[in-house]
Amino acid sequence: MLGILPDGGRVGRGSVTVEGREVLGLPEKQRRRLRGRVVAYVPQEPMSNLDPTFTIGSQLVEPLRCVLGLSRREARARAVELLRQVEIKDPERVMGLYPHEISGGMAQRVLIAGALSCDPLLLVADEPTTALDVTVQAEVLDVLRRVQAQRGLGVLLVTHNLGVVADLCDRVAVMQDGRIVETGTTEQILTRPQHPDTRTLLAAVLDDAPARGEWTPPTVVSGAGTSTDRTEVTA
Amino acid sequence: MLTFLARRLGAGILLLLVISLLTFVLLSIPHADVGRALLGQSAPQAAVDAKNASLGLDRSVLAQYGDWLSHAVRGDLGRSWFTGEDVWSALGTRLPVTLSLVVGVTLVTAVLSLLLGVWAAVRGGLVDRCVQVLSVVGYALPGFLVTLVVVLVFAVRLGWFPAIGYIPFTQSVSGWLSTITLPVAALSVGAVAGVAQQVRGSVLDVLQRDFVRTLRARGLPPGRVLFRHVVRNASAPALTVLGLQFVGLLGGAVLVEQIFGLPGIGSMTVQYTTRGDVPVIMGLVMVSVAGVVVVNLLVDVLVGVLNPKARVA
Repeated sequence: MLGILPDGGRVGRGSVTVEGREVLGLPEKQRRRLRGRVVAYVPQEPMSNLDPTFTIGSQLVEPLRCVLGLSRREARARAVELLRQVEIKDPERVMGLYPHEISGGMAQRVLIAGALSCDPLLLVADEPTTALDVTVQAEVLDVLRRVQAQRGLGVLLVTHNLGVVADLCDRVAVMQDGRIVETGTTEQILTRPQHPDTRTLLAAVLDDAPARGEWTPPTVVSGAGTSTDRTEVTA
Repeated sequence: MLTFLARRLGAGILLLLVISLLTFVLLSIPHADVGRALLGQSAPQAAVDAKNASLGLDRSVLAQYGDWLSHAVRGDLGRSWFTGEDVWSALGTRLPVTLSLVVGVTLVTAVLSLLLGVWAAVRGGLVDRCVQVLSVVGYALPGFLVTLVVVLVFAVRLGWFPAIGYIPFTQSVSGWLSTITLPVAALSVGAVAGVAQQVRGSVLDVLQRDFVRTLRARGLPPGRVLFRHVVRNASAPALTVLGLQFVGLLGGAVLVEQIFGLPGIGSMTVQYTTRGDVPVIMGLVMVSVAGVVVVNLLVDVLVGVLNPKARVA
């Protein structure tokens, strides 16, 4: 819980630590310092997460100037570079477009670029592909994988989609009713699930044949900011 | 955007035409015997007929309208039947008074209701409830009552401002301010109440949107998110309501100008309508309708500037 998500709800118990520091009791100002620079957030629904009244460019430039204190020109150059990193063609042109003029997949890339803009250590991606169609999903996951590898980033992916898990994750924590019921490496969880809930989850996907005949583990990169996070998100 | 504006402008002109025709027809009914009113009860019938004929009143209403229209499109609104004054020059002396009133109220309303609305939406709790109650009261109170109380307290009791009269801006800026402040305050109460509610509602609505959370998650300061992103997104519906308020203000001005003795369009309307001075009334109606059309156009342009998505529509 990075301070902003719940409305109406309260933190009953549990703990959230970032870089070994407890976040839950921190005053708002200090938590704000973590946002963007230490922990960044990629939301679920790309289109509603961009301010419709500003251009893509100005939305990317804003945190660079406000949070990192870059000059206008530096921030612009950086924003174009970020768009290039998330594989957007013709970033100069996209900078001048408004959110309603781009596609969902492109918007999700822009959001990833925005999340990366202040060099975070951990990226929290909340079902980043749920709202996209399948081919675009694959592209966005590719982008996530690439920036993760390039930057040595920790990625905390929240998802229902076991295909995405198999594709992208090193370690998995299965959650049920807000509690982690099982953790392990992706291979363990997918091939030798221990907890009954995990089995139910897997059974729901592998209807006829296993999704992949031979599963090869992805190249394991232990991210620089791998944090022991225990967020109370219902999976 | 340009074609959109052109279309709106065309619709505005059409509106002017339709309203002028309707007004003209409506006015022709009660004031059939203008010659008699002009010359007095004792004048011989022949003289009355001759007067009516010289004003063109012996012809059909449509012919009279056609005559008026053909002059109006060339910028000639004719002369007052009763005073012989050119309609344009009569309007010219009255218009600045009402304009300073209405523009003043609009500015005050825009600023105050933005502050109040945002404050209520962000703070919530007691502040929110107070603003809510006050705006319901302000909206429900009849304008003339507010005006009378304002006059009683600030002009009669406290003597801070003159109760009646008007000093033109060109004559004395401080005099203008002192004569315009109370009328503006009186008219602003209802307008602020209505628009502040709208601002509060749309700010609350925008605060719930996903992109606000995302912007916060980027580490942007909350004040910046609020004033740069939330207010901008919330301003379009508020602007629309402000535009509507402006139209309502033209009506409210009639009353307030009467009470404060301001020689504006409103008091002029009352004065000339009771006499049935058709050329002047037509001029007044045209100016008011043109004002409404221009304000609506302005609102559309502003909404388009603030919200790029609206530019396509």
